Amino acid sequence: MATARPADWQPPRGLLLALAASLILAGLPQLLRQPAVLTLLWLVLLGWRLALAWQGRPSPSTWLRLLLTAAGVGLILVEYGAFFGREPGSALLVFLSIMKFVELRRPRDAQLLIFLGYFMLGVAFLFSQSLWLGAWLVLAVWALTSVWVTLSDPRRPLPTRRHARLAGRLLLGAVPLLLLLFLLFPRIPGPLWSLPGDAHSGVTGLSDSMEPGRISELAGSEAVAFRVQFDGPPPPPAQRYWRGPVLALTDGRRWEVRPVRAGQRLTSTAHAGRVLEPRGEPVRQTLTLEPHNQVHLLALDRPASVPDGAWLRPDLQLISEARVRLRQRYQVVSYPRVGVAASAPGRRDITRGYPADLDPRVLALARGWRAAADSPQAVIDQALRHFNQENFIYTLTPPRLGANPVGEFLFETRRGFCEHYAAAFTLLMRAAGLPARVVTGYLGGEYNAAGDYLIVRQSDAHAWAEVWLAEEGWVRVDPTTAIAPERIESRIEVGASRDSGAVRFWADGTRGWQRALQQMRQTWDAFNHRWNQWVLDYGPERQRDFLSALGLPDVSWRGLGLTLLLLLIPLLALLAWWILRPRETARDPAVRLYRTFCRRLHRHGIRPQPGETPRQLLLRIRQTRPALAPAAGRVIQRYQLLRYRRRPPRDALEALRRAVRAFR
Amino acid sequence: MHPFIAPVFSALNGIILGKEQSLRLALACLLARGHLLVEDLPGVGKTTLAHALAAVLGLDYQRIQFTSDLLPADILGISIFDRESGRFRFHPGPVFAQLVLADEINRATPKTQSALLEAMEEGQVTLEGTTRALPEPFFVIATQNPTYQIGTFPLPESQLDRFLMRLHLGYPDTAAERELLAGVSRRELIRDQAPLLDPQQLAELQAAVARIHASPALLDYIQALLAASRDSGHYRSGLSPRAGLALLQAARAWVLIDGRDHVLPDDIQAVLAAVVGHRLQPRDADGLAPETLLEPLLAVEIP
Repeated sequence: MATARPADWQPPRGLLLALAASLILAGLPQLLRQPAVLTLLWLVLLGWRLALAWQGRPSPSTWLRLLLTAAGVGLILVEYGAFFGREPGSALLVFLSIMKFVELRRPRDAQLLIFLGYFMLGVAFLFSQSLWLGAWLVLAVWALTSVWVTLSDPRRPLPTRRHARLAGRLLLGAVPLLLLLFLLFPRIPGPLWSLPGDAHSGVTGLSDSMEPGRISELAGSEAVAFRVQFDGPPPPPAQRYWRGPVLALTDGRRWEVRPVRAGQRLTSTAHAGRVLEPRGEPVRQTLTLEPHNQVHLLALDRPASVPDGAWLRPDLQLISEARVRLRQRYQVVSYPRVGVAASAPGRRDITRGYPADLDPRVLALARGWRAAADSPQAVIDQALRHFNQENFIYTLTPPRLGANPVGEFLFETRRGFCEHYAAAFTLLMRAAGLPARVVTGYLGGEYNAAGDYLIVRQSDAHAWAEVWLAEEGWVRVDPTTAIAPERIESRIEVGASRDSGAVRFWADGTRGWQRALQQMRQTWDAFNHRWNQWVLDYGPERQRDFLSALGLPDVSWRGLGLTLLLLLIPLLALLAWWILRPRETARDPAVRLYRTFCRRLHRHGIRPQPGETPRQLLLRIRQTRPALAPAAGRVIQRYQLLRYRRRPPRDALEALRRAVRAFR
Repeated sequence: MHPFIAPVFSALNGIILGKEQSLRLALACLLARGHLLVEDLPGVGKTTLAHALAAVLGLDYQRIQFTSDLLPADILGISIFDRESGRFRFHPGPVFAQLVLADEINRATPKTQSALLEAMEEGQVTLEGTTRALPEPFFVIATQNPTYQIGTFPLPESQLDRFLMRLHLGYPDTAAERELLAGVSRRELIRDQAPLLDPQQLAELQAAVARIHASPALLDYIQALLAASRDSGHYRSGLSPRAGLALLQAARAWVLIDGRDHVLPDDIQAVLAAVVGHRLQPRDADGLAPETLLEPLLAVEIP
């Protein structure tokens, strides 16, 4: 005996296809991100349900669906090892959505799927907030809304262009609300919710330590490190050294930042000004730093001011008080040269130290130079000459180094990237008795004419050295320039260099298509930068600025939220009233005009009574307000003509409109 | 006023004094091919009205005095065996006239009443298997005496519905009454009155009524009135669709008299009391008084 279950809803095929397509649109970010096995399962389930519908068969039984769900959930558990967290959570959502699609047996299910689609799109923003995704969202929301409109149209069960147009109009109508909420929705300082830890695992950037090979890893990345806008003209390429972690501690292989006591922190610009002695012209810059999950901030060498929420180390490294997990904007004033009003490093300072097991050949080489030179500057020159004249090669793929990396590099392999040269040079200086340290950061940057800013990528990562000279303080020495001088002027060409290991540099305008490509990239980046600047970075501060520009007092986000709520409630009430108000059934324009006339009569103290015919009204006007009678008579005569005559003249409506307008 | 009707109207006004509105309604009722019920005290001129209408319009006229022993055959006619021809011959009753005055219709038995009412409705009389058409035009004026109800058979509501209009004549005003007293006998006036319309003209006028334009807006108004009568809660039962048709037809005739070609809400209101008054009863005894019975309808918003 057949079960007495009510017959399942069989959605029209066209609607089912549209629903499937919009689900693919909504789920695509996750489908591309998750393991291929899950995506494959998803697509198979989708196709299966479509095939069932094509054969006119009902959705699978509850048991089969439960089994499939368990299998899918198990697969997610195997792939991710957990249900909680951004990745598995999102995968679970997308998988369960397709199971709902398989179940689809009521119009309500389809409606729910639409909402799930919206939700999936929202979740996609937990992973990326790029312009691309924003554009994708608009497309997908439009598709989902179109299907929704189709679902709500009892007369046309299949998607039509009319539905898409209506959906488009609905979305356009929502734009003012979107802008309003974007501008006024309270921005909470810090992330709204704390993202799970894996959110930052893939973030690249300079780290606080350096080992051979670490920076050359970065050289393969085109990711943006930060963008800089200058108040004046950008500094010449030779001065575009972006100062990052300063490394003074070493065991001969690994370089680390030296610890700093709390008392040595320069916490404000004024504070820094007492210690630093700026020389030369200041360079004012605004940096937009991509999140790198570290505490250091970058600035043009050498920073002399301290942005909010940061402090300056005595070795002139800017440190943020919190790890940089969101894109951050800050302003810094830098001077090409800064004297530190402190005495020379002490005799036992770590900037003089080298490991006890330093290769004796290194020690011998350095001491030889020291003995031959008559000044510290001469030692530096000798070292650079050494790199330049001996057979050293600048390469992205240096051979692996053993337990004694500096010695092996200097005397055997002689192939290295900037960190090899910086490390070797610093140790040579220390062996020669000069205080020295490694500075990591970035060198160069691409000037974007479209947006008037400098863009610095991970591939611009660099390491150089600083040597203490008694008269001048810490002096920047970049040993890489001795081997590959073009590194300063040009950017490393990523990609081509990966396999061969040979470093190739971008040369401006060598070939036409290269130039066009570069220009396109720059325009796109400028666009992206604006998006970041005006949309993604619209945080609490910017909101406060915006509100105060509107003349609103400084309100907290709580106050703002409350105000928004209080504003919204009467607004919604008004909207509800407007929608539910007793409708004027009068579709006839003549009646609307006549009502306008009646309202104007009311101002004269004459109120049309219920059931009073226009003619009776006119009689009353003649009796009570004879002065109004001629004008009122014209209105009433034309109104009656329009409403009750067999074929009113063509211009009668216009005549009535004129008469009503003339009646004041 | 319509050029054909203006002389008719002024002649009638000369005979029946101070009753312009009632005369106009009675004329409208006739032109709309309806029948008229006059409800009033004896002696206020009901018979005179019927007589005067017949004389002015050149209609042949019959009066039937209804009594409790009146039989249908007394109205409709009877077949009598004719010895000379050896066949039954039909002797038409008084109903075979163009204008019939059914005086004190509520005195007759329901059987006799319904004989007349069926003739009114059908426009023909069927006796012994033979159908005989009534003359054209055919107009019945029935009168009722509302005060002496002993031994009467009041018309049921369903029968009242057959009358397009019900009028109250009422007492004449002082000036009109003085003129009546001072002037010549009404009977003589009627006798001397020459017909002002021929049957052809009357038929044309009746046909012209149907051509009066009623706009959608006006039909909306009639529907609003019908809906209000049904929903207002003031009446025992709402107006029937036939009442709506009657209202429209009467208003059209009213417009024709006025010499226009389209109906206005004013025309509906002008005929409303006459057309609707006898079709509505107040919901309960202490509800609306007869004078204010139609106030809820007159207050209906004109769409």
